[in-house]
Amino acid sequence: MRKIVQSKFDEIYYEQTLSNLLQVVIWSKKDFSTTSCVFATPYGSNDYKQVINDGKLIENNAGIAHFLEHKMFEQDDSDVMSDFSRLGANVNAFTSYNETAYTFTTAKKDISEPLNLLLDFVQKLSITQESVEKEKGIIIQELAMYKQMADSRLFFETLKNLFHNHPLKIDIGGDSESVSAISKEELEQCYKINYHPSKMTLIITTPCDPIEVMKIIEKNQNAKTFDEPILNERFKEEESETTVVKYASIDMDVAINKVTYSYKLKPLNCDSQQRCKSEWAIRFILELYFSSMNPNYQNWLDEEVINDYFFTEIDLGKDYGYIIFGNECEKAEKFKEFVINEMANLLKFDLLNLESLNQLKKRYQGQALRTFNNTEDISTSYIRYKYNGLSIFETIEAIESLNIAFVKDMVNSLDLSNDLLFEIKPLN
Amino acid sequence: MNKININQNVDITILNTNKFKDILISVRFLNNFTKESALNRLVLSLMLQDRTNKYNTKDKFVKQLDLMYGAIGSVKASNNGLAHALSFNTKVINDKFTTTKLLESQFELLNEMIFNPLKDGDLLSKETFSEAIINLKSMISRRNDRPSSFAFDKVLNLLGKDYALSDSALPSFDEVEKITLQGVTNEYNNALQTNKVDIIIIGDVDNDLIKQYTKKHLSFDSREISIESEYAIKPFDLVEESITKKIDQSVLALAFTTNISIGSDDYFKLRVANAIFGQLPTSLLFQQVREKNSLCYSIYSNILPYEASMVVTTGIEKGNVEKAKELILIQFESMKSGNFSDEDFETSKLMLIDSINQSNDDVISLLNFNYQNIILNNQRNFDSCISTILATTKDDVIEIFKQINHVVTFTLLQEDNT
Repeated sequence: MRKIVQSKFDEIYYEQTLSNLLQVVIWSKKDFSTTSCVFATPYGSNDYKQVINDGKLIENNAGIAHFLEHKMFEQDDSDVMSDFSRLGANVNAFTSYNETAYTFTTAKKDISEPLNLLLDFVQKLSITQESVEKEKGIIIQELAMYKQMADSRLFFETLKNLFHNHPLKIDIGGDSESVSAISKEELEQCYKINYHPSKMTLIITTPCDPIEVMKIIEKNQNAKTFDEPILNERFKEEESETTVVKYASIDMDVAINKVTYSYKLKPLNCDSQQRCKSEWAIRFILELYFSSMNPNYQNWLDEEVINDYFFTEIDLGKDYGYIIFGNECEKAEKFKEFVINEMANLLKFDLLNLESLNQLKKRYQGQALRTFNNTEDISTSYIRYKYNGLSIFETIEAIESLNIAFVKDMVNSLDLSNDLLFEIKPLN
Repeated sequence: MNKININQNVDITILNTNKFKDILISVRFLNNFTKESALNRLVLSLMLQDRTNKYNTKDKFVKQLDLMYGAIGSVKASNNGLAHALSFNTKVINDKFTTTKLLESQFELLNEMIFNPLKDGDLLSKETFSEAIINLKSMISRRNDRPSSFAFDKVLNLLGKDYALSDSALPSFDEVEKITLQGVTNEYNNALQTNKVDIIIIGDVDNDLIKQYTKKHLSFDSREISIESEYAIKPFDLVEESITKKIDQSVLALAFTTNISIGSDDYFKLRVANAIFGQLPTSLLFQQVREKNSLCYSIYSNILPYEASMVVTTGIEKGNVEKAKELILIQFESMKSGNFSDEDFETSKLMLIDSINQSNDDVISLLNFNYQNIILNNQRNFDSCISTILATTKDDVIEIFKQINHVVTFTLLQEDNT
């Protein structure tokens, strides 16, 4: 095991790649009682179309990764959730755009049983036609629950109208039609392609002895055989630089209009480190101009141009990019004008100086340190950062390396010509 | 845990631990609940959290927080049955991870937030008041927009009519209009001068330094106050109500009186019973309503600890509302007749104990548990809670459920063709 000491943060962890190429991380938290474990594959909702070994395109129904996450919890005649409960451990899972992760937490001193159970249930798919059909009702209710949450709907509908073909335009869980169409065979094929140990990462944040924990994992993995891994990559959709429409709206049972004004950005052609640094540069400038750091922010609130709902969001992925401004207001067009005007002001860079840059660096240094307060946050953040291309420590370094010239260059290079105004209107 | 009495009804509680990278300091003002006072305190919580006399604009306040490595400063109003807490919370990175000494700055920040709010003469600032009223109205609208929150508030209102519970939800717009700056200012002065004050500190700190800084920056005189918090809502004849909205999923909420509130010796027996009924994946509700009948994605039974009550909520398709209701009530009867397995009983105890042990690693759980003890004036610790759970028998669970009464069914229904 490779021991990594982050003395600045008073953190120690261990890394090892097993003979079956499973990557294992054991994060040592001796003072804690809780063990938090995450077993993840970089297979998310954006991967519903994949190209495998021989160039063959596998095209599945949208929401397949999330459906598979649900079905993993069924093992022959047993129910995995109940099995974990009987061991005094909480099991959970989540599917995002880029990954599916299975987690458990427990304060038990001996973690061998829940750890073996996690490894075993994620490394075996055991489903029947009947159980697949039965799950559809539960998932459709889950989708209905999210559909009536105005805030998440605002975000998903914005993405739907920003992207023509990119999988971000589809909700993580798919829709009731795509979920109804998913078959047992489709799930089995996806599992075979994406759950090979060579593709997966296991992280355990624990007070237990790392050497003993590694022994449990090795013993479990050495007793199993796996097929040859199937090489795969996400199918790259052709995506226009333009947004699908310039304006869209839906009606919902809300009291006041919820609005987003967004810019679709060209994907950056660079490595993960540069992409991360660029994203943080834009995040910094947005914080500086569109938050209470800007003395004008109070005027905007007083004049009710924005309210306490106002937010900005920046995401620079490998093959996409966007900035979203969100607000609650009656006149969407007026909000759009406000953002356009303030983006023009932003290009004057009058608020960007060494003092404000260092202020933001300190804020995020503190925020990063807080991640290490909680074993679950450590495990989940580790996976999220890893699948984004950089570790949490590399991300902190990228933030610390930001300088005024880089921020200015990054902002000046933004092409803001492809925009979208979207609103959720109250029902008449 | 160190408890230091400073003055009558003014105490410091220190939990020394080196688990966390930051230090939490929470200053809490506890008062007896009245609707008017709770509304004023809710507005106060919105007024006092992002400006002070020294940091008199949002940008100056946020700059101060950022210079303290992204310190967190917030104010929160919360109901605890018949008691109401106004809490000033700060979290600041421990000095050992920074180049500057921050502990005293944390006390100075709290001093500013508590003792030096923005003012216009004798009154608190008109500007922050107006902004707080606008934000409060937005909070109310947003909460009403969420079908699950809307249904939850409705069921609490029906359950708690004639009790403090019905007054504890967010106010109506009409009630907000009646809140005055004078009333809020009076409430602020009253909180500082008459409320029970607790300063709770969690982190790796030097206790002598804490005492020294408290004396210097957070000094409070003695005060006379007697606080009550828990009460039991009495059973009443079943009330059924439904409202129709244009939404994508119906919400079903059932309320029960339990006759056991948080300070009772039987409280952790109730927790075991609730875990078997509807808190865990192994629970009767989860297994029967979700797993066997695929009617919902989530279903939970939650205890209202200070009101001796319990609420079951789930989201379902409109056509399945009656079936779900019937299944929930069948599980309720199963609990009363002891129709649950020994395995489910033991598993529920195990899971509750694990969750209590995990609380030791979570700063907010530690804070809440310790403050709960302060409010109830009891000496519970995690070990005593675990002992009660271990000693709970199947007969205890049955007896507890026999005391539980179903009193309200509220349904938020989807309009047809949505």
